[in-house]
Amino acid sequence: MTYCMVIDMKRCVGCGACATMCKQENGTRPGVFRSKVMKKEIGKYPNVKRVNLPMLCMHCENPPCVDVCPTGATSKDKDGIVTVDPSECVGCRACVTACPYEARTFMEDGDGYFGKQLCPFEKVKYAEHPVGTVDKCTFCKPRLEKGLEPACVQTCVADARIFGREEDLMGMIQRRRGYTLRSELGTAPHVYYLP
Amino acid sequence: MRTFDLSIDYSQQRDWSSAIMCTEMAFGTVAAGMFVFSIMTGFSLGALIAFVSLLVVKGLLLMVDLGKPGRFLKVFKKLGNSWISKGAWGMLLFGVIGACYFAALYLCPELTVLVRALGIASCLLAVFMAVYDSFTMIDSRGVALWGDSGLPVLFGASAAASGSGALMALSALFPDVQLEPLCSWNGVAVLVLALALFSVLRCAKKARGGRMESAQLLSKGSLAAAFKLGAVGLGIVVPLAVCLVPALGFSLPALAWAVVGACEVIGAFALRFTFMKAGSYSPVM
Repeated sequence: MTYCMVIDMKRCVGCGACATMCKQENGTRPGVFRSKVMKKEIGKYPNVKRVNLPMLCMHCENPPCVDVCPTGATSKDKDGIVTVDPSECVGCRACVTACPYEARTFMEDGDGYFGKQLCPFEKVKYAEHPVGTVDKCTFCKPRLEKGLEPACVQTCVADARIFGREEDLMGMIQRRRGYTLRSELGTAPHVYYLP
Repeated sequence: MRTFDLSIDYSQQRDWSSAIMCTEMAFGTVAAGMFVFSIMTGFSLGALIAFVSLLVVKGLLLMVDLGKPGRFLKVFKKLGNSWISKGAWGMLLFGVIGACYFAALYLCPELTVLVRALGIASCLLAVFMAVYDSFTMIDSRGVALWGDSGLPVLFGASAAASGSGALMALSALFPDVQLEPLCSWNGVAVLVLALALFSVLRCAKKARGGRMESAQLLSKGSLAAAFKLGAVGLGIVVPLAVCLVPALGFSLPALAWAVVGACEVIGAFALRFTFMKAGSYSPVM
């Protein structure tokens, strides 16, 4: 079984609720986004269009980040989820430069959201992302183990994100001509976008 | 803490462009080249300086870059596809075989076959040390400029040019350095470096996406001055111009060669710094 995510670009309104919920769920540090909505303006006035592109780890079939990891801290599990074991990560950042989707972030030391003094929530959550290691989206693996959907999927106000088994969703992806980002690199992402 | 630019556009990589990281890579290149040329010219003190500084300085910089030195040992765990692991093992082997070479050279020089065999083995490992991080860069598929298969040739030539240049610079302090074969080898290395750099940049300029963006940064953007003055000017143009002087029938004082050597070392650092900083991610769409 391989998990995948489908993002309907027609439904996404670019509200950023997914990114906010992701931060709340995973307690990432300021400036660190496991999930984010990227923006681009296409065309020239008066024919201008704004594109909202929700981005997260693509959980590739052939993840470049796994091959370059010198310690095996980055690995792909049986469900196709690419994870980082912080206790094994040496912070070499080879995986960060290997990822063509800029989906990984090196944890640098810094203040919390309320200055140097961390709130109780930050103290608990920041311990899960130690400084000097690399952090990334896990499709909310702890939630999946409890039978829940990833936080970004649950919170999406427009139902733009669909999560499930790839074999169950592949029919819809093919029917609606879903595509993956930077497919020319041969990474075979498991995050699909519907035009 | 870093902040994200959430626009879909080119972005320069920042993870491998710190001063420590660039210095570590550039220093490794220069020291590895110097080690090889010291052995080739029979200047054992130069080889010893290069050997110790390669292991100590590069090793220390690597540990400082990782933040927690104890974690460095973990890179020996998985000798799979990772060039970082291969580099760590190469460095360890270089340390062991190099130490055996110096032990044999200074303690039992009469064992010439053994000394020569260890010298050749340590030279091969030094060549590996000079180029392995270019393979690490090639593995960084997010950064298109580094995906050029000519990178090992470029940084190998840079190691040869700057390593022989470092020895030429040391000739001002150590008269034992044999300038005669060294200057000729240096000229060849600089020529190969110029050709490799031209080839990599030409491919980058013709390419699309992040590679082209990187070429723009090097030729016209914020890194242009450092790249043109340092990597091209001091690292290639000055040495090539000076190499032409003896061909025109003029002789140069030893100090001039030492200055040229120093220029090449600066050029190698400028090349590495600008290439690391110019690495750009392509827009995802």
